[in-house]
Amino acid sequence: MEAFSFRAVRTVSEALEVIREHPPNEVALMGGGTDLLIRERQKLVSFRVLLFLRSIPELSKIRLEMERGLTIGAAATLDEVANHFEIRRRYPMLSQAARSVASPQIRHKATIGGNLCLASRCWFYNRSPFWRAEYPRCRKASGGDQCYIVPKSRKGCFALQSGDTVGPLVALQAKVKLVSERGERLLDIENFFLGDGIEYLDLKPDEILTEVILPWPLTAGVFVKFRPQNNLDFATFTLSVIPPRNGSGSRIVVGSVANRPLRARKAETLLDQREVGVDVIAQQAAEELPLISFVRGSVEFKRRAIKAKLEEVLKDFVSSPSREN
Amino acid sequence: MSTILKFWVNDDPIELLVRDDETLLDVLRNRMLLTGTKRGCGEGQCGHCTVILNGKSVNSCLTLALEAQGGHVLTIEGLSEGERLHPIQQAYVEAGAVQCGYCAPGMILSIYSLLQENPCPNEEEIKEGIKGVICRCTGYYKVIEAVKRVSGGG
Repeated sequence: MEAFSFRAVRTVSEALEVIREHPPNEVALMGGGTDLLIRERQKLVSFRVLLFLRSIPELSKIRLEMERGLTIGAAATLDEVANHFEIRRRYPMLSQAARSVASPQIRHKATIGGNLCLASRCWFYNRSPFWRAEYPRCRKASGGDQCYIVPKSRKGCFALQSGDTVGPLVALQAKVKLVSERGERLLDIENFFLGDGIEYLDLKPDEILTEVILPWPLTAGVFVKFRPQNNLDFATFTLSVIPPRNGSGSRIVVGSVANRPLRARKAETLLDQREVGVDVIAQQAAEELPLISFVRGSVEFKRRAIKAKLEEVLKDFVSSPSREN
Repeated sequence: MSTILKFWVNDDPIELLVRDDETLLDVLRNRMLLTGTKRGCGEGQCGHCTVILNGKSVNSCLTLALEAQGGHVLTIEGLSEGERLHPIQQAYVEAGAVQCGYCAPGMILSIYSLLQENPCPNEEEIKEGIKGVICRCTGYYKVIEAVKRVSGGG
């Protein structure tokens, strides 16, 4: 392991100071480190300074306010998010998503901010240097000219967005707060993901993700994490669905299938209008998504699985339309 | 770079000079010779390195030693009181849950953490609680039985 120094700070402004003192790409921000430390060992990332954010008490707070809704500090752990009383009660899909991540051990460390900023993942990329040596032309690993996932592609990287809490946060229309010495930005979470596996997040090297802000929920949604076994693995896909309210506002978000979370917008419109059956809506959603074949499943498999799972979820809505929790 | 780490291990105050990039696992095993904590995969999948940090189970291979600054660490060595086994360990013996024994320290501490949060888990909750530890002898049923014994649940 390359030597790096560990900086535990107590406030966000101290953290910004550490960032200012160093050249942009020498500082890595760490929440729980459950992803970062592995990538460091795989030599996918290197840094001189590890800036530990869990030591900032302010960043671990979760609070619900009348005018603002729910504010989750970026360094709150997934365990804290999953078990928080108000989140369980009012944002059950977020609680479920946080609880679906890996194991209790990981959830005790991993943070919501880390789950959002979780680097895009690829079966050919997140590997040891030895393994990667067999795939030398990977665009992400070495700036090469090839993609081993989509060999015919001319550009771009198809590494997958893989944080399980991303889908529910998109469905719940969350915003993220990004703080730097230049000021603050509040970004719709959908725009936080740029749609490329390499240029993945709209997060500048001098910025810190400090808060995730959710409006008051109008309706409770449903979260589904699909994976071949109930193990520690990342999802084949996640579904986050919000039913319509007075004919609008429904959300169908599919996570972990592309380099950003995807919304099935045409299917959402059908769901708002409620003029066609749930099987038609589910079919529309499965067809309109730009999926890619991956080790976790072919396009055809994913379309069928997404349709089947979505249909189950939508049937539930129809049978209990006033479902509040 | 090195830093002085002051923390508590199994209720003993400890002061050590550690490298900034050193993991808690390496400090426990190599410097303190607490080899009850096992190294497995080194990437958070197998859970054999599980210890309790400030009351919560964590993978010590994915935890830097300095994250424990000022904190409390409980390892398998600190669970029993001398010769008197902890109730979880006793239940483990009674249920015959130890096979090769390599996963036992991590498994027992996972159960400890589970029971702290949920003293009477049902079978599904037990399975979720021990999900972070892989047993390659695949002796999960006896482990689940041990948890039921000690929690009086199931």
